[in-house]
Amino acid sequence: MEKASDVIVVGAGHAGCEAALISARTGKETTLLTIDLDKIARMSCNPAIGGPGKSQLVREIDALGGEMARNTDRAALHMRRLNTSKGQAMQIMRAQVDRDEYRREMKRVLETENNLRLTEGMVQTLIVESDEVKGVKTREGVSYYAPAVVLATGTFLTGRVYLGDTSYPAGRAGEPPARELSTSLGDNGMTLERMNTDTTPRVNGDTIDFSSLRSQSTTDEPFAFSYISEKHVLEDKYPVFLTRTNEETHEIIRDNIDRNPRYNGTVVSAHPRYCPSLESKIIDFPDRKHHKVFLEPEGKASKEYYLQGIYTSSPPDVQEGIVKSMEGLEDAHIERYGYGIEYDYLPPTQLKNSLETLKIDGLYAAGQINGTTGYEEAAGQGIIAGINAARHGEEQVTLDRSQGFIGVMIDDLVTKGVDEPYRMLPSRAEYRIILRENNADFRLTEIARDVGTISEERYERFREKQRIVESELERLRSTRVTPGKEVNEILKENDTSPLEDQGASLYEMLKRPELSWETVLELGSLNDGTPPDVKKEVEIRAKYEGYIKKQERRIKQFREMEEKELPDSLDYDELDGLSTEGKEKLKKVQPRTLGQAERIPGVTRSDITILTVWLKG
Amino acid sequence: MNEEETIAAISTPLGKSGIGIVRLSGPEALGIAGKLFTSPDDIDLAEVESHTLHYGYVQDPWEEKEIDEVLVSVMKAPRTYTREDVAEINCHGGVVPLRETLELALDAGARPAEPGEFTKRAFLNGRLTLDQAKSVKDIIDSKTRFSLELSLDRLEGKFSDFLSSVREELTAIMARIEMMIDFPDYEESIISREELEEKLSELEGRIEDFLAHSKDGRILKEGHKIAVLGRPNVGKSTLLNTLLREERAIVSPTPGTTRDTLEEELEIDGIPFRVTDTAGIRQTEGEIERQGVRRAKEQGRNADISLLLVDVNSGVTPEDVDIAEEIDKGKTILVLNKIDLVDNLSVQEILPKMGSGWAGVVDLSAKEGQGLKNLESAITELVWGGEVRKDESLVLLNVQEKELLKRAKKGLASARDAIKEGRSIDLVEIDIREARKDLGKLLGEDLSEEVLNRVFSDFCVGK
Repeated sequence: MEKASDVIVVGAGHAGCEAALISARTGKETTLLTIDLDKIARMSCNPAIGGPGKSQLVREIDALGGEMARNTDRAALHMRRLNTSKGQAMQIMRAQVDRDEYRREMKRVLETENNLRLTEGMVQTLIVESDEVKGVKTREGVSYYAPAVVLATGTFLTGRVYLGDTSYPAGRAGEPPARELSTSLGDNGMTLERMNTDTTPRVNGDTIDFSSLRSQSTTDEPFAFSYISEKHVLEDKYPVFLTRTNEETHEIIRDNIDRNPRYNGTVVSAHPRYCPSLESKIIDFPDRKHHKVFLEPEGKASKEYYLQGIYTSSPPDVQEGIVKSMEGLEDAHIERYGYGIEYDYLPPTQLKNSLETLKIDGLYAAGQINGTTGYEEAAGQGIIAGINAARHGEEQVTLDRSQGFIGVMIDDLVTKGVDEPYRMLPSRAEYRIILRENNADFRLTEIARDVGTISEERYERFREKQRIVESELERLRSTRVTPGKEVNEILKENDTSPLEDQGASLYEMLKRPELSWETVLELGSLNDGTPPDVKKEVEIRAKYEGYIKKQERRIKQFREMEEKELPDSLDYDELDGLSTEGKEKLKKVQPRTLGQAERIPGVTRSDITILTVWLKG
Repeated sequence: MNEEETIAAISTPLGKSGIGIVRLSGPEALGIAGKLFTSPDDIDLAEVESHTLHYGYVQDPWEEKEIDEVLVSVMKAPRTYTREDVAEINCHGGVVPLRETLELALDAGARPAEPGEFTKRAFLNGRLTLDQAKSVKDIIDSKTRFSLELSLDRLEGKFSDFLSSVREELTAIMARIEMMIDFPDYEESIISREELEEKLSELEGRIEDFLAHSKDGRILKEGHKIAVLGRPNVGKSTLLNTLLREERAIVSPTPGTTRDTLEEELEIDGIPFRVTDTAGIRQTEGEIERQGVRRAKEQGRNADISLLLVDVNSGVTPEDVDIAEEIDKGKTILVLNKIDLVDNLSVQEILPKMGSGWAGVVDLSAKEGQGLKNLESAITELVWGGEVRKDESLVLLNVQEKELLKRAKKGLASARDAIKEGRSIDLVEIDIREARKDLGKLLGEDLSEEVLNRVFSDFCVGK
């Protein structure tokens, strides 16, 4: 049987769901293929969305018209704002999510989306003719045809689960891997490499003694991840608990280290440093007496708790010992053991910024297949791959490092490649005062509108917010405070210097770190009916003005190099004088711009000069 | 690369020639040159015609100190090498004024040019053909290779040790801050604001010290600068010759024999010196006495040590007294010359007329060599007893290096300001990051991955 559509997405994890939805939202007929319809948008690791770097990604996905933020708002059990003690620009969100509800809700959204056909089927072969993708063939014997295919296969490519001495082929515990697709990719000239990561054991909450454990409650501030979700306060029924490892735990691990597949030589591929296995923590940091373990609820209809921090692939008896050695978990019953998984990924230097492969026209890749880790990272790539697959043959949409965390991530991936699973971290973003979690809508809504992924109503809503921000800024700039006894008294109370003769505008006052929004309005006797989002944006723009300007200057310099485009047809072998390593790297990465070329490790300054000269000639 | 920026560099090879050009190119080239330049007839460089030459002085606008007597050529876009506005400041006072002029240009808003950047701009602005441009690569290659060798050379030296250790500490600080930003659940990383401020202040101090020492380094490598001052015909050139023990300066009974200041190298007890003979500067006919005094004042100020010569035979003139009043006596040795022509008594009569506060007083006969040893030991005493001392750990920095160090220091200072103002830690980090980047440039490295590596090796972090 044969079926045709505009876009095919392979895999319905976090990357695949976003890719398929966004493609369908631009009006393209989209087919989403997945091995098991009951396992879509599954959170195979911890049941949480957000956190540093990730929170920004989720907000960008939302601004671009994606689903992750809204779906998190639907399925959230517990929400927190992090970094509240730090600057406004650094504050971010994290949600504990009902794993099951997230999956169900996502499935519903996929099924109700116009132009989207959710289909069960295991893709085995890519149909490629003269380096152009034509479609895919499934195990079920159906051929699907489309000019653009997005691969979002997660850890399924030739996946293998490791647990102590045991190992078996799997895409995830209990699910079959996709082997034939790996072979098909290799046959079509793509390079594949191996990576691994560990998951944690999950225990039955009824067997945990919570009485002695510290807990974190959900925030009492109205909250939503999406710019357009209704903000609300969650019931405080699903707290997160905290315990920690101890000397006994560490001893059990040390005594059994040779039974761990990563330490006895069974698994040798790259392992993440930021989501390290408990074994790595104990071996690499022998001086540490404790490591934190978060007990995260998995859902309303489940008693399972996820032991965040105990990533392990040690054998079951060792896992039992580890878990029972910790406070509160002495009698805990493990429902599922943690395990390690090793899988194929496509080293991402084989991709363009659009996430299309350099080699095969129309073939896109997103998510863990590109060597990343994390739902948010996957979803962020899914959005870009989905938009571009839908626009295949037209101008592609890319984000650069100054436009979003998504841009930073993709630029890192395609320019530098990865040598371990890539996780988004705020420190990777050099312009992070500009790339705030609260202003993703300001940065990306216009793009979303141009691409056609958001409704006119949503766009108008954003424009309204923009207008209010501008008018509030104007109100503050035009209201002046004159020095007087009362005014200076208030200033003194707030540990800030009194006003001089001419006074100052409220905007100037708001710039002072010591003065809050409320105090400033009080100084100007202004009423405060400002929506919280607007207030925050205005306050950040005032307080951070100097830093924002500093980064904007940097961005201007950065853009100059980004605007110097290198043609696809550029034959580096024809360019005299390039260093051997530089030539090698340039040929491999095929940078889109001079700026990107400059960031490739191994490309020298003199290589860049030669490219500059060539460009002008 | 930002083509809107104005760049500056010494565009002639640094050598013993003593003559060199500081070249500025970019939209602000004339404005910046104008800030440093003063001329007798108050020329505004931005207003003059293109391709003209102007005489005047380079002056430190902050201290109103004259650095060098110069000729400035003004060339306006587009008929210039880079097709931008270009100013070339022709200095002739030797390496130090050249460097100081460049530093002033940088202070006034120019950025140090990268190797080959003038040529690169010339090419980018369409000044060169592709054929010609091919040579750009060679130029840049050779220049980068040259600086690479230089930096490799230093990698074993004290400069890089210093840079690495400061940078290492900044890396550790940043890792702790990044850790707080990347992994807010892990309290272990917390660095208190007090601790942070203290660390930054300490590092700032270290850079400051280093910069101070680097100035000493300049002096040591190039020699302490000695100026020989005095009104015409008191025997300055003769003294210079005697010190050098060879006929290098041209001795003539008629002043104004040579165009340039004479600068000679000399060693006393193993300490290198450079002696400037102001007698060489032409005093044009009709130049009033006052100008001679001013000249002596400038020369004295540029020098580390001055020798003021008085002719005991002709006695103290009003000009001698004027000069004595205008110079820094604390670093000046009063030299009573031509004692072979008078008796002891007249020498003693002269002293009270010249006032007190001298760094030393020596009587000698430059012509006969009598008393020369005393002068030499007075000079070395001043060196050993004074601020300038011989120190093995001194380094020579070029202007760009100095500028980057200064910028790094400024970055740390503004990070400390941000702490004091109660700014949040992520903002404080922006300035630290910039400072570290400047240090990184000196070592030719970039940073982002390195900080992350440090985070992962120093802290045990989970998701």
